[in-house]
Amino acid sequence: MRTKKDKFPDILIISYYTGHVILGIAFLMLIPAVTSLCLSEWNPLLDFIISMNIAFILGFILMFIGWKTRDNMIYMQWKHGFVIASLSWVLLMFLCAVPYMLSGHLKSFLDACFDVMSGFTTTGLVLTQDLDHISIGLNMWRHLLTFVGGQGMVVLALSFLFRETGGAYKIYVGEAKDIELVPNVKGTARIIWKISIAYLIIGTTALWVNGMMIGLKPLSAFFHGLFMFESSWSTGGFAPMTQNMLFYHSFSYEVVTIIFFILGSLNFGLHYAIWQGNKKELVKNIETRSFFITTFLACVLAVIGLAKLNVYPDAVAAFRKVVYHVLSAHTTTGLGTVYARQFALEWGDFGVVILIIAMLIGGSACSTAGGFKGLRVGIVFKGLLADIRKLLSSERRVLVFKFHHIKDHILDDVLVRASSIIIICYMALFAIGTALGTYYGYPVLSAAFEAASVTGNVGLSIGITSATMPAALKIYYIIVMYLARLEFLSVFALIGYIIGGMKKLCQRPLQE
Amino acid sequence: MSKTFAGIILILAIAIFCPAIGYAQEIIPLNELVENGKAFDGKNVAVRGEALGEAMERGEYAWVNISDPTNIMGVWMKKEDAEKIAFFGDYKHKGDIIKVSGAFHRACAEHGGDMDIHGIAVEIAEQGHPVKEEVETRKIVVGVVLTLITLCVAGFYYKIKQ
Repeated sequence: MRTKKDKFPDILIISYYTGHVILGIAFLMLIPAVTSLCLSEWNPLLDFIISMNIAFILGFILMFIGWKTRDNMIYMQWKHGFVIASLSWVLLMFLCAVPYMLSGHLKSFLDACFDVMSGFTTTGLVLTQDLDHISIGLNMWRHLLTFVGGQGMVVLALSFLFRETGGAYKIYVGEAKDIELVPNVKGTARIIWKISIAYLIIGTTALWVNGMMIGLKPLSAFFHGLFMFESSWSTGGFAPMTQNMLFYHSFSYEVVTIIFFILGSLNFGLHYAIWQGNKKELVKNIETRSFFITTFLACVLAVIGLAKLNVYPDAVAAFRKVVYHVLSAHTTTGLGTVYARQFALEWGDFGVVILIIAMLIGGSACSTAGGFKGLRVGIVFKGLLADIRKLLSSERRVLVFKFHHIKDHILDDVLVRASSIIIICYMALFAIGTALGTYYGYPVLSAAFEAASVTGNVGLSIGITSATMPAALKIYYIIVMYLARLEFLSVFALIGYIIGGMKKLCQRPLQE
Repeated sequence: MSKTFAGIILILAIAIFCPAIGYAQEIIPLNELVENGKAFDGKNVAVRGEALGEAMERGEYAWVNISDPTNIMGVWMKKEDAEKIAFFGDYKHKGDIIKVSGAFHRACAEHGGDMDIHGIAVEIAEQGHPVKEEVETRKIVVGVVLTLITLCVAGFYYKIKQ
């Protein structure tokens, strides 16, 4: 009997839906192209026309290859969803790097891919040269990538391009977003976009007005406001100027970005619950509790540590430099108001270690943030407490432990184990990154700082990330950013799929 | 004769004991200030770099960020000094190169711990200018050809679809 699986080989399903996602990004390139057109930036306009056409052609070819599978999303399996999500990210990295490369501001295509992956994964590390002289069109593209990357490219494609939603949930989960705000996954994707667009309008306006108040010209203040909002909300860390947040020299501008990167690091489910009037969720949710406890502890410890070294002169400076960076690290944003080298030269080992821990913990699950996520930290911590309580209570007593995350959940061993495994995977990436950094001659603490920054998709740098760093380190960082953002499963599925395909290819001649 | 001798002695004394008067103040690369913040903290320094972005006026003063080949730093200067700058570096402009003498702060108490320079003397060392954008013909040709291919592929796809 012929099943649907036989009828539609995996490659066709993957090809058709990956083509859709690529088409979505090709349409997205219209925004920087129009920006360049309006501002008479002719070279960037041509760069985007070329890049957009390459994406359109590839997207249509992939859709054409998988044409037979159209309107049969219902037959999509989990493996397809995971492979589509992870493969789309790889292909989009190459496609989105084209306008970067054509701009002439990157030293190599590898550097361009690094910056794109850094944007997509909302990391925020930069290898683009002479950022202060790049076009507004390219800046629009950089920040748009980080904004879309935060919500997820697949979420974008699901919202606007897919008609059917039967198997869409599997692609959606493949992009490390598993929350169901409404029963329909397309509806959930659209709600995520509605929340983000509402904040985009509020945030850009707030930063625009603030920008004019601190001395920026109205048009320039608008673009700075838009870019800095996209960067803050997506916990991205990009900025239109090389100095990042230090360019503005403004306390009020820093405070506005703090508000939006904290909001961006919270779970979309939490935003939706509050939007629906369930304000108690903010206090009851295990993730927000975990986030606020670890943030408070990290801030206090970092302030005490740096006060001991007399690094900053007063409380205002301590807030603007220490608390700002701890919050930026913990929410995995990566916006900064100090020079990268100041961490290494002035912060001392203790301050750097606190930042490393904060970067690894990260923000909330199903948000724009990276890191282990507060939810997993909370679950593992509660699991530990539960084990201790079980040890101390009578064997005959059956104890049931619960935690609250949007709704009440029973804390079982499977959940604790799953959370622990993901944390171990993150720690493995961090450990390998640190070892690789030390292999290339960087001091161990600096190597650990940079490894934590890429593992947590943060973007703060201690000075290692530069165009001159070894190519192997760049490639490793790209892989880590990618794995960490997609939370491993999808990428493992893609690797498994490729290995499986190669095995089949090798076995076929032997069988014949 | 004795007047000439006294003159030579005076010039030598100035050159030896007052180097700041005898010579122009040495330009320090911005990255050297970042790398040796504690050593330079509170000292008068001279730096030189391209004015970037725009001046951000704050009352009687303004922030101007300057860039040299090694790094970028904010300079807090009088509004009148900032107004002397005609071009700021961006995509369409090469900014004025300015020379600033002033006090360097590793963590400025007045500005929330920013590493900055409070400019005392600001002068324009080199005038900036608009950058003429040259569009490559090759890019135009590639763009047109790719657009035509896209239209064909899209047309073919939608024809099959219907």
